[in-house]
Amino acid sequence: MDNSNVISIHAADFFNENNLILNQIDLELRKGEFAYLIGKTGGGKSTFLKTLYGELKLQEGSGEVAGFDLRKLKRSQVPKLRRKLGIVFQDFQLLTDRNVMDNLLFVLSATGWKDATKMKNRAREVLDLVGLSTKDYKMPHQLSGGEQQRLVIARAILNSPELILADEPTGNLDPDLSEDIVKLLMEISKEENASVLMATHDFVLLEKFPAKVFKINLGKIESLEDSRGVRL
Amino acid sequence: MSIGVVLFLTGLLGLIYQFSHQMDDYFRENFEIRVFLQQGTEEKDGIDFSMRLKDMKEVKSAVFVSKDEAAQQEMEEQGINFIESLGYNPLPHAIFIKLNSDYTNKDYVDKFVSKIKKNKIVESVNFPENILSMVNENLKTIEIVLLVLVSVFFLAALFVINNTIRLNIFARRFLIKSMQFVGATDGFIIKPFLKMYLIQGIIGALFAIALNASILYWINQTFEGLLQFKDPIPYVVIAGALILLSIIIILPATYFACRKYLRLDINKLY
Repeated sequence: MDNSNVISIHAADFFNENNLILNQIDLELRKGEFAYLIGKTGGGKSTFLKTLYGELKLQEGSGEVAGFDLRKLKRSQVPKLRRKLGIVFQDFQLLTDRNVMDNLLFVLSATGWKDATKMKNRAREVLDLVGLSTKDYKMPHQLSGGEQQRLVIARAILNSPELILADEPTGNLDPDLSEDIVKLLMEISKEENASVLMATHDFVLLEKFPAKVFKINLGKIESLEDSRGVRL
Repeated sequence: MSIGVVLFLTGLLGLIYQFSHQMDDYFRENFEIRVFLQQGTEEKDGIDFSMRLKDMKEVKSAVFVSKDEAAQQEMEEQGINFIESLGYNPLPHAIFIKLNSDYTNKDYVDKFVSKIKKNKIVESVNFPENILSMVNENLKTIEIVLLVLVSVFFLAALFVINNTIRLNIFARRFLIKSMQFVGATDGFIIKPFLKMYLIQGIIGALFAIALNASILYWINQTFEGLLQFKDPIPYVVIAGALILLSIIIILPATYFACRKYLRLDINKLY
């Protein structure tokens, strides 16, 4: 497999509870590349992403994500894989019982950081990057939807991940905020040299911020170089 | 809080059980057989006999009371000098026997009494038969009922604490999943939960112990002398058992409840 790829999938079948969802998939995403993942609801976007971050097993074919062989991935290795990924969800998945700063500090201590000063500094850095540097004391429920999503992105980039997987990150946001989030993801992709795979069905974004597209259709994934004019 | 309440009830029953046990012992060890000797028996023979009785393994104590001592006591209690009015002392020599609690049951006492009666110097033997049967039947039954109740409460404690923890962790199932998504290992996620519930459990147990102790204090103040506090060990054992009980229940309950959500697919969390 090519070392310049963060995701390399070859002849892989994707299952969700023994149902074949995607059949004989080949897909590659280079380091630092930004790509959209589109497809109808129920078409297999979530199954595909879940397999990439180790929530579902890859049963057929070969797949490598951030250096981890998905076929040989053990349960105990899943946390290690996820430390190389940043996962961004539509429904935020913040730790609702603690404030913004502590959400970030939790991730750092969970991923092996020990030095309290370095942890604080890194947390401030990413908050700065997503424009939340003045809100570190707030609880998640005190933030607006856009701010919460920014916090999730901040959390995702704490450990300088090789790959950010974003599952409909703009699904709950109004159009202006959606554009902000995509801009932010693209900036981070450039600045941190992280690949981004963003699942969406917001075609306005595809027109405004053109990039590579993976289109899921009838159990297959088609790769397109330009997102402009793409239709399902 | 609910942990503290069930532990309190379990502890209270433990205390009641301990008291009934203590009461049982108290009755048994204060159970007295009075042996009255024939008129005209020499004091020396009576003392000899009491010494022989004392050497028996079943006998805790055998006290010889001479007729003069008995008369003296009687006169002090009654305030009448009956020797003067009668012209002689009608009381016999006597031996007061207390048995070890293990031998204070009806079968053994009957055998023991008939054995003593065979001695020529013995005139009659007297013992409170009704107390004996009460000790043997009622207290035993009460003890068994209490033991069953303690066991039932133990199970209830197990059930309530386990359910409390599971509900609590159920409420945090998304939190647990979120932690997994950012790369936290299972151990890293479970540890704070274990710590939190362990602290809660120990606080609950201490609360239960404090409450039980204040009830003991209150009973002792209100009904003076009802409770025997000679031996502190049973109370320490009950207190220790409550703390141990909470730990024994909480650790596996927390572990398995967390593990359930760690292994569950996120779609099944809803």
